[in-house]
Amino acid sequence: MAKASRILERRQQDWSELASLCDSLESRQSSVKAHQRTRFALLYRGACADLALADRHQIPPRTVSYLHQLVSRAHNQLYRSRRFAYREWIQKLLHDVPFRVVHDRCVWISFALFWGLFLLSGYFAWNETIWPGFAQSILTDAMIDQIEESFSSPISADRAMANPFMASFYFKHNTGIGLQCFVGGALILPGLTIEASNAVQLGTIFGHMLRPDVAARNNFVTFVTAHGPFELTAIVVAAGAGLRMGWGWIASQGMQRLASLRATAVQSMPIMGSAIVMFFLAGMIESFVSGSALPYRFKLAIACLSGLLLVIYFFVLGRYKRVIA
Amino acid sequence: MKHKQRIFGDSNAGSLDTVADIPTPENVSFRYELAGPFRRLPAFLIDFLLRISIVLLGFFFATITGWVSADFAMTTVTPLVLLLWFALEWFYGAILESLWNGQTIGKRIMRLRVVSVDGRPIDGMQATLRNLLRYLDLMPFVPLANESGSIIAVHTFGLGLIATSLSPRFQRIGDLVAGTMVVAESTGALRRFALNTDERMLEVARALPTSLSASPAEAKAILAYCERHQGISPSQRDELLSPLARNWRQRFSLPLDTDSVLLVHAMYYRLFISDHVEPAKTESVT
Repeated sequence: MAKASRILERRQQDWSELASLCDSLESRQSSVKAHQRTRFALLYRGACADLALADRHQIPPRTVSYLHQLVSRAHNQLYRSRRFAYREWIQKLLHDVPFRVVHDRCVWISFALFWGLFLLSGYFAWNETIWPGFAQSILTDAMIDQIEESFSSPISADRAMANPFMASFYFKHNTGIGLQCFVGGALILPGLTIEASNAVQLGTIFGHMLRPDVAARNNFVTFVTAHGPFELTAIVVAAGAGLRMGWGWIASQGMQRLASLRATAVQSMPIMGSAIVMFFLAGMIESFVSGSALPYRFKLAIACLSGLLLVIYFFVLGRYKRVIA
Repeated sequence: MKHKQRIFGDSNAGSLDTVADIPTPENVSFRYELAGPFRRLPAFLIDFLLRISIVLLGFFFATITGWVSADFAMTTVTPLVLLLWFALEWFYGAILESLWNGQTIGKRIMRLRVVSVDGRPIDGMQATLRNLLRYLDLMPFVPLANESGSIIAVHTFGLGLIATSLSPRFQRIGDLVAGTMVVAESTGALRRFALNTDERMLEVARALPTSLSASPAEAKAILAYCERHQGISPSQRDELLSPLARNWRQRFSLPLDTDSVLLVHAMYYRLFISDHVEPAKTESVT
């Protein structure tokens, strides 16, 4: 048997060549020529074989750890990340997601939680006799004044907020809240808390603003009608998807807990994707329709149309499970 | 466990939490060096500062265009900056990690990489999940009210720290859900066999039998000692080596006063460097 030092002498040229190829692959991929790439594969297999035989050849421990580093670096260059499969995602959004959403109990729980709290707090804020000062205790006086102030004059042409700035602002803000609901759902309680606090706040604002003695009432209704369906549905769906993810942690269905959480997370990601699309649509409508000086009839029609679209999406597309070829 | 021992000859490797063993299609199992939370913090900070400065630059640019044309700035530049901000806030890591094979700019600088727990590269879904779920790792948020009464939420990274220290591979919650881990790609230099040609050592080497052999355990002990002997004090060297040396002196019928340290070095020389030892120079004898 050859001496270990001989083996090392013979092999170290290959190793340093592999290391320098790793360097160039890590910094600039395109600079590596085809023949270098085939050489890379060859050298990688060689280094793997050396590592496998390290014990038999009595290679010193530090050289073995050098080999471990070298092989792991080369491994990371040989096997590269897969990109996002966009086409598959569109398929999923149209076939898989509606069915999942409609048949998912977590989404319905999220629906009940959101609308239950929304309507309840809306009623408390609207009806002053049951719980006097409810709106003030939830929102603070300063915030109520600010909201009333912002809806004090009708949305006329010169005060119109119909512009891309507001659209992008609404999208960023609302989708951020939706993502928080989704992500927080992985641990269940944070997601539910974020959803519930948003439901209570929104409900209180609606209830308070719809009170007959609030002057800004009509302007408020004119503003919120058009984008309401998409935005509120998106929050419910996002929180439901998060709850589904977190539920995988509790009901493991025969898998290891972590494996189950992983599986439900992958399932609920496309649902969150659909919520992001809805947030985007809501943001567009909110700024270009709600914030414009268009007549109320038109805004109402947009609201009805988007509601209809949602019904078709969830209850027609999601009625049966389709097999994706 | 047995399998690992056979390949590495290092029984401790399996019990340490700073390495992960990955079996490959090439029929060899190699070791990844895992990156813990404080090794990842600089990379996170680099990415964070980079994101903030891009957004600030964007708003700076919007302000400048605002001086030229307020309308253009309001309808085109600022919305684009806001969308960019949103994208950077939630999808910076997801996009870069799926394009750059598990690295963001910060990770690239700090030589870290995200891989699946089975050692394979991550896909777009895993990159998105682990980066969205960072929001959870940043919890709990500690509210700090400032003078005007508005509340600033301080991100404590508490859950992330707990998760990384409890999980077997330094995974935060996002890593656990996406099935990923962060590894360090260190590039250590290759060390050669040290060639010690002390004449006293060579003399011992000559006295060793021609067909010299050592058991795998002995060979391993010699290698481990010779790599690290510089960090061991002389008295400790003697203490460490005397049981081995006593055994060899008997086996190879060497004089009883042969120095243990020299004997181990001689064994190292004969076993791993060369069978042939130059005959002693006559001048040095006289």
